[in-house]
Amino acid sequence: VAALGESYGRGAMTNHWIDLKNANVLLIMGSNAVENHPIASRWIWTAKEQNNATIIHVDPRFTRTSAKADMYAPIRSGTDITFLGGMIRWMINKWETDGTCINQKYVEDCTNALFIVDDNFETCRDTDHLGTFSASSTWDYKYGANYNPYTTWLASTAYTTTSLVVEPTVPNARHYLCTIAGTSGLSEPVWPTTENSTVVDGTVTWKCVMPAPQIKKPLKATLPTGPGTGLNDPQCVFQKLKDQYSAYTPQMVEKICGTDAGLFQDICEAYCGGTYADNKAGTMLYAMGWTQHTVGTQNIRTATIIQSLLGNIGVAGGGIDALRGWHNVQGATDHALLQHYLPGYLGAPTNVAGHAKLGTGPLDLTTTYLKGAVPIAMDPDAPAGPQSSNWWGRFGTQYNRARYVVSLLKAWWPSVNHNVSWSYIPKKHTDCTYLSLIKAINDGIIKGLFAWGTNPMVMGPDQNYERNAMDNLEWLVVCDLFETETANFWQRPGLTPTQIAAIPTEVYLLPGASFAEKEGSASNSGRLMQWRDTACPPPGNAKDELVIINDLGAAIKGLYSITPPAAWAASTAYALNDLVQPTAGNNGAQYKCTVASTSGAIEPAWPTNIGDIVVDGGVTWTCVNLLNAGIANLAWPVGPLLTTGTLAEKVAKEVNGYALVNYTSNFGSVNYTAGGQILNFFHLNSGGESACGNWLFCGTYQATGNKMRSRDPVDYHPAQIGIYDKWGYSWPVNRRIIYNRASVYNTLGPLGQAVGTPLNPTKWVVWWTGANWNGGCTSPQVNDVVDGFGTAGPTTWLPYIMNAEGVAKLMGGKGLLEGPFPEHYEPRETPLTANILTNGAGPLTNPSAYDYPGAIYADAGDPDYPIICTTYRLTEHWHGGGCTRNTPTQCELMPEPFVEMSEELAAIKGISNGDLVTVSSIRGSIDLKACVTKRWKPFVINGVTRHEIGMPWHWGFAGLCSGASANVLTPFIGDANTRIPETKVFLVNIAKA
Amino acid sequence: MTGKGMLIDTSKCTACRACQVTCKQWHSLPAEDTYFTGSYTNPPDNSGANLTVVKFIEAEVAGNLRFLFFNNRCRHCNTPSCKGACPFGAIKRQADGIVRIVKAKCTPRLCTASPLQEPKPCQANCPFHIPKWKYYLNGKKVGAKMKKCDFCFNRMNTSPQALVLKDSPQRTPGVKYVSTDGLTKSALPACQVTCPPGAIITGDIGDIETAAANKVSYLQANGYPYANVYPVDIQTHVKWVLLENPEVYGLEPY
Repeated sequence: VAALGESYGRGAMTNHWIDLKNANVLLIMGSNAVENHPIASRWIWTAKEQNNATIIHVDPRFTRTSAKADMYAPIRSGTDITFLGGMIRWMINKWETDGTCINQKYVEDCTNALFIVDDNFETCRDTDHLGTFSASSTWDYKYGANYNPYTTWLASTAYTTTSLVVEPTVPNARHYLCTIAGTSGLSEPVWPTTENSTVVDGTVTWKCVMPAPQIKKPLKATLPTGPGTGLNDPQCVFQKLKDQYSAYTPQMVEKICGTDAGLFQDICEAYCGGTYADNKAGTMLYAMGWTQHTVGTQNIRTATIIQSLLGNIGVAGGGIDALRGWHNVQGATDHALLQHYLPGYLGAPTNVAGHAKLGTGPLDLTTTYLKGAVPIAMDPDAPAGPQSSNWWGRFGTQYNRARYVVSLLKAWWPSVNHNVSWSYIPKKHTDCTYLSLIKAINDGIIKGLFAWGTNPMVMGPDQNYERNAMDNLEWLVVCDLFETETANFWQRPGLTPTQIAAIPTEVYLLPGASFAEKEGSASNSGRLMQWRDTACPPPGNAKDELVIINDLGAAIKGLYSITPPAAWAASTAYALNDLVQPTAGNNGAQYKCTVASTSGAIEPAWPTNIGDIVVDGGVTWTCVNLLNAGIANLAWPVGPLLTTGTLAEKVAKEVNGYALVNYTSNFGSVNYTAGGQILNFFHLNSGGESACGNWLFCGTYQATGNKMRSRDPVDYHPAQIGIYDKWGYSWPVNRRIIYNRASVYNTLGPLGQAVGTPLNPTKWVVWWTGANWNGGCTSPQVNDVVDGFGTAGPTTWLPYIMNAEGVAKLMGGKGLLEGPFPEHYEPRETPLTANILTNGAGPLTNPSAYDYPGAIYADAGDPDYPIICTTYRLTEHWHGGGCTRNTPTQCELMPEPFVEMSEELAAIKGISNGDLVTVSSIRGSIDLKACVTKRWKPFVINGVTRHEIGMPWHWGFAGLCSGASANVLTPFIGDANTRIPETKVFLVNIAKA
Repeated sequence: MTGKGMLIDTSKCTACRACQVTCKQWHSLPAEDTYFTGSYTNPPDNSGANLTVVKFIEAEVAGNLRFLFFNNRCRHCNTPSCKGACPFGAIKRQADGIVRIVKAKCTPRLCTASPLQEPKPCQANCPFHIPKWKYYLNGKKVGAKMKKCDFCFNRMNTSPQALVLKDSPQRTPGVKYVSTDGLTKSALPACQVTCPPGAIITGDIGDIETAAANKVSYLQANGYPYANVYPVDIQTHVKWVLLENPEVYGLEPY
């Protein structure tokens, strides 16, 4: 999510499952797609049958996926950046030789390749700092002067209603539009600051408008590309990219990854050669094999660079596909089951002074949340040429980011002013990722835990640490279908009855409902939301989790009822710390007397930002929220205007968004009546008129019904690329392939194709005719929904609408900790003592990764733990096994854990197939059966033979079939940016038990 | 040969083993006791509780590592030798080629000299050693009837309601479900309906043989020179497309 967001603007799979059928080549890496996504992977076979697609699998172990692939290459776990970085070097080299294997036009039009980089930026190849970049202040473009769309007010000047908007001689973060033409006065008027208020100036009338910020102008290399120009400009992003990966030769790939250099180049040829052309597409499929590393985010970033260079994003059959491990993981992240987001990927506010106030946008005079959250557009060519739409920025006279945040606040607290309810949102004061939460439990900071359908006592790393940490909980609620290891943590093996008696935790086990026993929506990897009805009621006392959390919320809310303070009174003596509320009633905040005196005769205008003051006679009132009004004022379960439907439907309606009052949308001028469902997120307002629980889902539950229920199994797209627009609903606004503006020529094509013509006329996604996006269609809306605002063509807007620069980023900014390009670092636990890439001169492991205090790791090249180990899933079990290890048929297929190893390693260790063996890491050891297989082979790393083994991690001590947990061995360390644990590579030893 | 046919395309099979589970569900068979034996194959062979078992085979062929999958089950021989071997006439060959064991007549304890003597005549006479009866359940050896794939004959020509499992409380006792069309998915074998990659197809045996031959030609031209249709020497209603010679799969070269 983090890497895709950094490169493209949205942290989601760029296409959808069915679209896999359009691919010419599929590179499966960091994923065992056939085993772990058996249903979805049928679209891979469709690509094979319909396109004769080539399937490539790169994985440490030969799996059921490898068995179905046309090409397979082994790779040592944790070296994916070297492999992919090697591909980048190979592609650039090939392009320089014969002009193939890079989609040059796409790179020039749709990426930041031509942007000029800060003069002081140096890549990891600079000998002063091998393996790291120059200071982070240099991770930026080089800019010219801003484009300022305003003129400064002048005295005695003729203005017309078509004149440019003016700003005062002393800018006040407001701008003024001429509404009555005339000549301005001799002296500057007193500019009003309230939106839409007017002032007369000479014979001109000015109207105050919300300002649009100035546009930043990064410098850009000059086209066409030739010697020293365009992509060959020595200071452009593309040349920095080339420099960064210059050391990633095929021989270096062989040394670090253990992949044969010849085979590696064959794969480069097959993937890059097979997909760079305008009418070819390649998809990359990845899963936890890329993410669960200390360099997880950068693994995926490297992939995004390759896909951008090949022009494989936004087109049919192209994409970077994050294969989600569960049918609703996408839905979970969309709804902010991540510590750093509010629903809809709106950044969670943190405990910094600037986030105390919501604010309005980038031109706020003080630091606010929205000032930081609304990016400034970057347009090298402004005002000429197509522009960055800068999606989070201004549309109409409001900012989209503000629309979404305010509507979210109004969904939760419809009766409270949004500036007040902003104070109800917790401000994150520390890292709250999974590992940090477990550490906080261990340290006694977190005293209670809800585990909803999750089994951390199998799934988390360093189980010995995690299981002991749980002993510090005062209470634990587990909601699951079966009694899992988590519910049973106090009965774990190895504890004496005395030790069990000493665990103080009160454990509650709530029986939940399975997917078939409840209604609601699920969002799959391709962002497709499908509504499900209840097939049968849950058995016995088991309940739908929505019912449980609804009851829980209502009970908690009942405990927080508050008595608001007395209403303000005129000409009354107030003492310090007296509280009042406005005479109009509770607005969610209170007003505390901070200067005691007598109040004025007229009620003041009450400020709504927490901390703001108002003077009233002699009294000074400060706006405060002392009563934890956030829970008491919460609309639970949904706002009072939502009265019809089942509980799940009501929640879905709130998530979609509805009008709180009769209003006209600021953008598009569409009228809504109170209680009406909102059609799409263009129509949300930032003034508090609309409520929307998740802006991305706006459109899922329209006035005409629940679109997630749509079940029309017909592909209406004329090119038959598998859009199925009337089956379910996909965010955003039912778009199935995001960034689809990049699927057309954004400038004149190489054979004279008109701007807007599809790159691939056979498998086109959208088609701009020069006037509209209905090209190729006999009626509108049977093509895919064009990205962004559907009336703007390629000459108006750049394709990557979510990025401030409007294009995909080959070079990132300051968004990721390691730097703007990925660089190979060894895993936290590595058998090597020096980074081969820099011959030991640069960092061995990721310098940005966070070592948890108290966690233990094997040393680099640790002689006690010389074997590399990885973990994975099986088709037959699912995650922590809470369901599948309680299902007899699944236990029959895979009854117990095992460790897979090569015949070569087994021979060295004297292990036979089926033997009981002990695998130990510095954190613990487990006994399990050996699976000696031809499917693991030793690696030769820089001339030295290195052995790698692997094991599935589904087992634990509870359930119908139990067994040792692989996560007893795994390290308590996370990715530098997301802190996802590095469970995919660590060091162990193995011996016959 | 006329009648029904089934093609199991091992080039498409991903060894997810959904067929193994769904077969068990349709036939109301329990999960038997298993342990890890060093291979993904589990149980290691067909049994009284598993009419179909996916076998995992690792082999190196001409320097290429192969991870092969073979769905082992009754081949439904056109001239089933098991039929003649049964002293009780419990094995029936339908006109459409489906070979099935008539449960009421099958009495394995009485068809050998001593009750537990193995193999039973049907298995002994099966060129592929398919029919089985015993398996372990909760530590005890159980099983009373010989079991093998019956081509889901009792799903054929039945209506969608027939998909309700036999032991489900939703099933109306005593109601005979009669087919109105033969095309609904419910009329197909359970394994075919479930198979995610579509590796199992059924139809007229002539069409199945043509499809098998076409797939083999494609594979031979696309990296699998030894691809073949199996079995060859014995006429069967279930056919496999194999990626390598039957010997590589450990199969009898019939």
